[in-house]
Amino acid sequence: MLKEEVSRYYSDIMEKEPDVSASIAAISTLLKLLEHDKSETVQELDLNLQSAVEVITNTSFRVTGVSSGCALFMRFITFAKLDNITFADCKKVMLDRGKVFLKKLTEARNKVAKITLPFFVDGINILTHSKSRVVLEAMKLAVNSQKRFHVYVSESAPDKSGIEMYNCLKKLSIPCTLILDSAVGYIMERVDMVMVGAECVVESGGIINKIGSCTMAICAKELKKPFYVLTESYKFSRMYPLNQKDLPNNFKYTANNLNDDNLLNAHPSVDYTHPSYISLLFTDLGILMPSAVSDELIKLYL
Amino acid sequence: MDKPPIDKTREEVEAERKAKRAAKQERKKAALEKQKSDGFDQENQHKNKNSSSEQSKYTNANEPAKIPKPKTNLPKAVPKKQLTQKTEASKKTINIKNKENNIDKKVEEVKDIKSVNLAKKPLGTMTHKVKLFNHLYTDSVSLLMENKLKINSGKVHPSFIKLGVQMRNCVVAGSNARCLAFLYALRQTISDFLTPEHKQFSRSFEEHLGPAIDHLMACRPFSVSMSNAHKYIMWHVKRLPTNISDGHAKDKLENIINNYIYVQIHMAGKAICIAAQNKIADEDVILTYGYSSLIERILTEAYSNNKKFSVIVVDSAPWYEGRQLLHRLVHNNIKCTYVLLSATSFIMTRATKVLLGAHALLANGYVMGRAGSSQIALIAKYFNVPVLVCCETYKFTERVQTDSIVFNELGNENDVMPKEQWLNNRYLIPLCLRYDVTTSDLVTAVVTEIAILPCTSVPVVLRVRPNDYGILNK
Amino acid sequence: MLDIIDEPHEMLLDNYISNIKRKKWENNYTIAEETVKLFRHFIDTIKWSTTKELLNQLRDYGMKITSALPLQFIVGNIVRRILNIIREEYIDARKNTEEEIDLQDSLHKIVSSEDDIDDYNTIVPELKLSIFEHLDEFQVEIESSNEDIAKQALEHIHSNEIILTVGKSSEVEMFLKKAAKDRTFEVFVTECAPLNHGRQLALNLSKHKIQSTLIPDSTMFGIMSRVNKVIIGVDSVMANGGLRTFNGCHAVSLAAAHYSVPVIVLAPMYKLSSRYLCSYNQDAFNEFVSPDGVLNYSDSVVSKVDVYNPTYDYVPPENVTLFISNNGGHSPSYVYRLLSEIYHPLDYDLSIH
Repeated sequence: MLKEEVSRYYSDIMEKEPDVSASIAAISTLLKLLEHDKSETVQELDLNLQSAVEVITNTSFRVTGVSSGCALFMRFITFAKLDNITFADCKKVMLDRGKVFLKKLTEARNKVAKITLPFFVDGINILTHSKSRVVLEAMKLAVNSQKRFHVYVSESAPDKSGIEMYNCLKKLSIPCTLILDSAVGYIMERVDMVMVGAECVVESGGIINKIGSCTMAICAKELKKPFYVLTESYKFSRMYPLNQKDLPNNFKYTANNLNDDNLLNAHPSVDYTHPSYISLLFTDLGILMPSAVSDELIKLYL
Repeated sequence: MDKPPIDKTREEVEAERKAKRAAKQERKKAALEKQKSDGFDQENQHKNKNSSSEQSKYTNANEPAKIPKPKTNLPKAVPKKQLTQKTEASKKTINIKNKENNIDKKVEEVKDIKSVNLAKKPLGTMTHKVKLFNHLYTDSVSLLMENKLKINSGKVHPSFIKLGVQMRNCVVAGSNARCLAFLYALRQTISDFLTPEHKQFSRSFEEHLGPAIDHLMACRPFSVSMSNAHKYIMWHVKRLPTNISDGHAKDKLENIINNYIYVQIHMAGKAICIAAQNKIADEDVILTYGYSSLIERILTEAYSNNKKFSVIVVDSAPWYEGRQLLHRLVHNNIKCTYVLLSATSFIMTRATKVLLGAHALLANGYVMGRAGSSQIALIAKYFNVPVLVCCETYKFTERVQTDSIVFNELGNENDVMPKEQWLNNRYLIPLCLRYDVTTSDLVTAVVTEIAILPCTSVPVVLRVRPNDYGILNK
Repeated sequence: MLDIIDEPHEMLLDNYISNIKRKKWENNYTIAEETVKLFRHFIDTIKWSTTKELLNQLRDYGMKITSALPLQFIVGNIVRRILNIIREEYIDARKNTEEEIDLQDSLHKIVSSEDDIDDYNTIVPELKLSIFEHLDEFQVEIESSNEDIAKQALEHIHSNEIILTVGKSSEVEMFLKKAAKDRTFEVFVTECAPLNHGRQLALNLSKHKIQSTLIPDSTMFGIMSRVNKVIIGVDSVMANGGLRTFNGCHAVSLAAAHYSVPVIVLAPMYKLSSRYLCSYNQDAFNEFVSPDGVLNYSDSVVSKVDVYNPTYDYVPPENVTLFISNNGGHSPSYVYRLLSEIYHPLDYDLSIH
């Protein structure tokens, strides 16, 4: 498959199915590539996949989500390779397994929502940040289970994704309030817990999420409010940022800005939240402590 | 005060007292008998035999201790002796008397030894101390003994005697109440005081007051409010002009005392009530600990000014002072909840504010309050509930403390655990403290009659109004 | 003791539940033992051919007793442990490998698309025997858990220490007695009003020649600055490493954090629970007993006042320094791993089949 086709396929999915997360879109693209791939050896296949990953990364608006998904897919390929002898057999197995794999991943969001349900206590006030499809799913399930709660959404400039979240919640007839990003310190004493999604979960147990999440987490810690992160397990990544500066540039800034030489004038779109501020992670693998993330990654990659 | 050691040591004390009385009587008798020496020779010879046998038993142990006494007897006996033929006989009798005295003293010694031996078994009572708090255990018994002599000799005004008993038995308790009672007693003493001839009012009054103060301290150590009031009054006493008449001095002092009570206690309380009421909003849930007269006043006045709030009263063993507050609040129809200290972290999620009283405010901003109030502040901080400490400025002190151990008051061990269970057990000690020290970072604000201050501004207040606290008198 | 033989299962369940509700079996240790006995009897008498049938039946019974006793976390713990034992034995027998089998969901499993939904449907011979063996081991583990914890006492207590403890816990008592054989130290025991069980612990310790001081709850903060260690026992350990323990322990842990005093928690493995504290309102978490100890019924205001007497306190994991369990010491952040070793995620919710 040519690079343009890969790119087109990927962008198609992203536009037509807004509910699908960037990682899933990347993985489906790569699976599609696998189907149409005409390579004869494993190495050729590998090369093709690598270049496809590059293309996707460059096309994507949200690089953070894509990187972990692609890494996971490559690992998947590695596992499949080891079992079989002939290449034809190998490919067949890969395709079969790939479908199962994709199916499991798409079900992850529902699993997370189910696990979060007991934490929605009647009368609770929740603070959330930016638009997260997982959080939305969890709240949808809670409202359908007759739970009553109030949500405060922060605007999350500059792309105003908080307003999108607010509209979605309104459609689900969940009582909600839109607040300024700067009002987080003010509102924190009124809420009972903070619930956010994550674009990427790193090896330290911390998360990379829309800018403003770190501030919210620090504020929550100071006022002793639990800070919960809802995420699917395919977002676990092997990165280990030491501080905000240590985040890769292509995460923080979009492709347009990267061309500028002076990045100091650009606004980063994500930040890193240290694991000490996170109370619990709700994933499709269960409720995890931040220290369990590293455990999972070690089991997978080593 | 400390009742537990009394039973066993009381016997010891009784024994000692008897011994001393017997010794006194013997000395008197000896003096009389020296004058009538003749008739008692035979008996003395008897006693001589006994004394020699007894002496042989006890000489080793007791001679060094007893030598001074016979010596003192000798010089007294000598001038009274008639330098006549009877000198030898009298010398003999003197010797015999001395030996008699020795015997008696040794007999007393035996008693003492016995009583000491008895005391050795419950040496546990002496060692039933927590090493950390050795400095706080008071030897109240001997202090009281001395004081009883003072009381009996009429040096202490009866109002102070009454006050001392009331303080010891905790009939009068709480810093405001104790200070008021002290000032009333003082006022009474002043009005009854008669300056002796050729003496100044101020000097003689100070002297007169000394034993009274000592007596009170022995009954129960002074609270900060009492010592501040005492310093203040004494400062004014010293400043009285030397040629003032009794009547004028008394009037002046009574006015000063009345003024102090009115301004520092009543009016200050009123101002604090008004300031605190501003901080009580409708639908508030106020948590308070133990009993503080000021807090009770604030809450009842706020309620009568139609503020709608409810109260959580937290109480603790062993004194359960909060029950008093609970009764009074319920009497005023305020909605109350009542829990013990161990349930605080459960109930704190429902509280919106914490109001605490204080025994004293230290110069480094720390708050000294009833034991357990620091725990309330700690849990309140965890749940982000603001903590307000209400305290009149006359309770501010120059003292600084970092922990609750160096300066404190020990409560009665029997309140913690009934005596039978621990008295004979060397390894078990009950302990309770009366006060503890809350650090300034746990307290959100201090409400005083001057203003609502942060905890760290206490030394500023002390600097600005030194006269009222008699600091110059130091 | 239940007369177990030949009674129908419903009767046995009812007797079990009423014994616990009426406080005939008061402490966690007794409840754990009785639960194991009961379920062993069930495994013996239920007619089952596939493991799946057995699991479903036991889950039903487990569901009944946990919903009848929602505040006794220990019941759920033991039930889930037994279910996990059965699953382990089954997979062991099926796979016949020496490898350590990880029953938990993991990324690895998703990626390698392993067969994680094992139906438990195949008939495995001799499974019953192996299950009983494992249950015997489990029972021995429960019985010896206090001793195993006490064995580690000397690693944690040095001479001339001042130790603070709260209320009365059998683990702490044994721990301190074991340490006292070789080391001299002092113990401060808080009384824990209104039940005052701290008194009993102080008496017991003093009989073993351990210097103990009994203090009321209010004095605790005052002396905390001089305490070297805080050692407490628990009712159960929550899944995030938090504790469900005696009332007043939260204040103790906060005071210890204030003075940087380590808090050591003695908890045998059977007290580890898979539940989380969902809300500070504690409706499903705390047990409230008679308020008589707090405010006497004869008091005149008692009808106009709300009086609470909660039994437990929640201590968040940040305030705990170390857990000591029968197989060693762990940090609170490792509790999730211990959980995954003893319970299977499918058993967390007993209502689903």
